[in-house]
Parts: sequence; structure tokens; C-alpha cells
Amino acid sequence: MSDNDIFARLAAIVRRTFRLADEAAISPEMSSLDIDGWDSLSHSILIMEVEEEFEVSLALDRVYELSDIGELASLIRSTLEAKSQNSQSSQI
Amino acid sequence: MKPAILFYGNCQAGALAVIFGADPIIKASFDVTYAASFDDRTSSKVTLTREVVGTTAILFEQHDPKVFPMRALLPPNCLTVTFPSIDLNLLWPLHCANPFNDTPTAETPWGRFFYGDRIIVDCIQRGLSAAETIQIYEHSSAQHLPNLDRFAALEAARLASRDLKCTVTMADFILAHFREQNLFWTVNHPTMAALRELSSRLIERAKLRSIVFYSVQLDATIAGLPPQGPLGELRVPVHPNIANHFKLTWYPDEASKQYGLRREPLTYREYFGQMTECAASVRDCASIGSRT
Repeated sequence: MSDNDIFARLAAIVRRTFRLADEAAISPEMSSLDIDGWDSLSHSILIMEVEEEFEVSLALDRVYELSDIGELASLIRSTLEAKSQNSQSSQI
Repeated sequence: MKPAILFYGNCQAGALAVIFGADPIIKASFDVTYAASFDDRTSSKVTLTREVVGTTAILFEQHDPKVFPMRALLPPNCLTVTFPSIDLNLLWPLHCANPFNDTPTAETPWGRFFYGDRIIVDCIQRGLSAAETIQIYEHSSAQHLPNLDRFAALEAARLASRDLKCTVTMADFILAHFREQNLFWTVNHPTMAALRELSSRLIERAKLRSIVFYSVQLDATIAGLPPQGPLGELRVPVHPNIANHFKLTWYPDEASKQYGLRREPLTYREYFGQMTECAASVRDCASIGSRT
């Protein structure tokens, strides 16, 4: 999955979780300060949605230390990569 | 002028100020003041003066992106104790902001249904009637609950992460006791049991500043306050499946009237029924308004 694909899917989750309009612009630099209703409580809901969409379990020691959406996208990418490598090594 | 004890933070800081301000030992030695870190519609506004801040002996500051704005005016010997906001998603995983809350009044400054439910809000946004929404809620809300064990792990990580930034911590207490004790009325409104524990931990820290705190009889002070505590005006029902999953021993009978506003308590079904009726009505009024 390309970085663009990850970000597009993540942006859709952010819009859905925080009830933003379909056309609302989402950029990697955006953080909880830029989106109404994104607080530490709703962040947990966002992470659950992300985990379900990408079928991953994100590192618990990272998910509450993220500064912006770009960092969340990077965490998703690295988690997907690790999952893929684990899957390949288990097939060898 | 007595030295001040200053609480800064959200409504929980206000609740702690009520408890500290009710204690005769503390009151005799300090003026207890609360400054909200948010737009507080529920209590009279306190405008902090330079004089009050300048006499502050202890600042109890809730960890928040909005730090105490008058820090530079605190006296050099002021003790600052930071504490976390105490909240818990775990019991309300369908919680969301409610765009269909009713109009705030003097009696309900945040509206009757400030705390939304994702299933109800989604149905109302899709244009379903109140009756259809209630039908869907009753038959499929359990299917919409997330993986509760994973959610619990995330919540534990969230609370621990916030504790790391504070002098006084609470995650250990919340996670150890939420099954046996009712610690929250809503996601972010702790019961007196949780406020008592946080108060006790703050008092332990305050002993570093004044020996007065060794004499405080916290339980006697709390016994003199309403049992629901300063934040117990509204109670949001916990979904029965959540109660079963986490084996909440304090979970009340679903048919008992104890949800919603304390002065007009509702059953679990009545609460969500009224919330849905209200949401549909707010949506329909907005729709009529936009057409005229």
C-alpha cells in the first residue's frame, strides 16, 4: 500500500470519526488543535477505527504520543510493514 | 488576607475546589479559588487578580494544553502540583459529541443531552425518524460496540500516557477499581469516589507545603457534601453489554430510574428514548429553519 493510499484512507477515517464534510481538507500537519471534537477521549475512538480499517494493532506506547495526522500515517505504515515482514518470515 | 490555594483546570478542578473549600481545617488557613481553563457556563466566573495569584501557596494545576496563564505572577515559594483530568471512555465506547442536543437553559447550561451516542447521531443524520432510530438502537447497538478488550488496553495506555506528565497520578486507581466502584457519571464527570481519591492524593502532596494538611479529615468533609458530588447532576447510562463484559458489580438494575438529570431520573430505555426524540426534533426544527 502506497503512502498516498494510507493517507487517503486515514483522511476518510478522520472525516468520519469527527463528522467532517466529505470535502473537508485533511493534511499531514493537522492535529487535534485543528479539528473540533478531537480530544484525548475521541482520540481512542479514532485509533480503534484506524485499527479496524487497516487490520493492525498500533503500538500502545506510541498512539498517545503522536503530534499530528502525518505521524499517525507513519505509524500505520511502519506497522503494516512490520506485519508484512512477519507474515513473510512465517511462510519461510 | 489568607494565602490562596488555587485550582486551575476543567470542571473537575472546580469540583476539587468545592471539596477543599468545604474542609474546615483548610478553610481556616487558606482561601480556596478555582479558575476554569475552559468556558465554564455552570458557575460564576472568577477573575483572578494579580493579588490573589501573588498570594498563592499551592497551585493545583490540571494537565492541559492550556497551561495556567498567570504562572509568572506566582510567588517563588508556591508549590505547583499537576494532576490529570480523570475520565474514562471505557464505559461509553459509543460516546460522541451531540450535534442534536437541546437548547441550554439556566437549569441545564449544557443541555439535557450534551453527551451523544454514535448510533443515535448517525441515524438522525441519515434522516431516520425517532421511532426508527430507537428500533435500530435497541436491536443493533450491541453489534456496534468495539473490541472491548482492545479498547481497554488503549484506555490504559491513554491514562498512563497522561499520568507521565503529572505530579499526582490516577490511572492505577481508576483501572484497579472501575469494576467494583462507580467512578464516573459520564465519560468526564467523576463520582465522589474518584474525587475523594484524587483529593486524598493532592493532600498528600500539599503536606510538602504546609503541616495544616496533616490534620485534614477528608472523609468527614466529604460526608458533609451531597453524596453525588459536585459533578453528579447528570448520569449517562452504561450499555448493559459493557456492564456484562467488564463485570461491573455496581451496575444498577436497567429498569431503575437513575439516569439523566438527577431531579427527573429516567430508566435506561427512557433516557435513550428521550435523547432520540430530542435529536429528531432538533434536526427537524433546523431543517424547517433552513427552508424558511
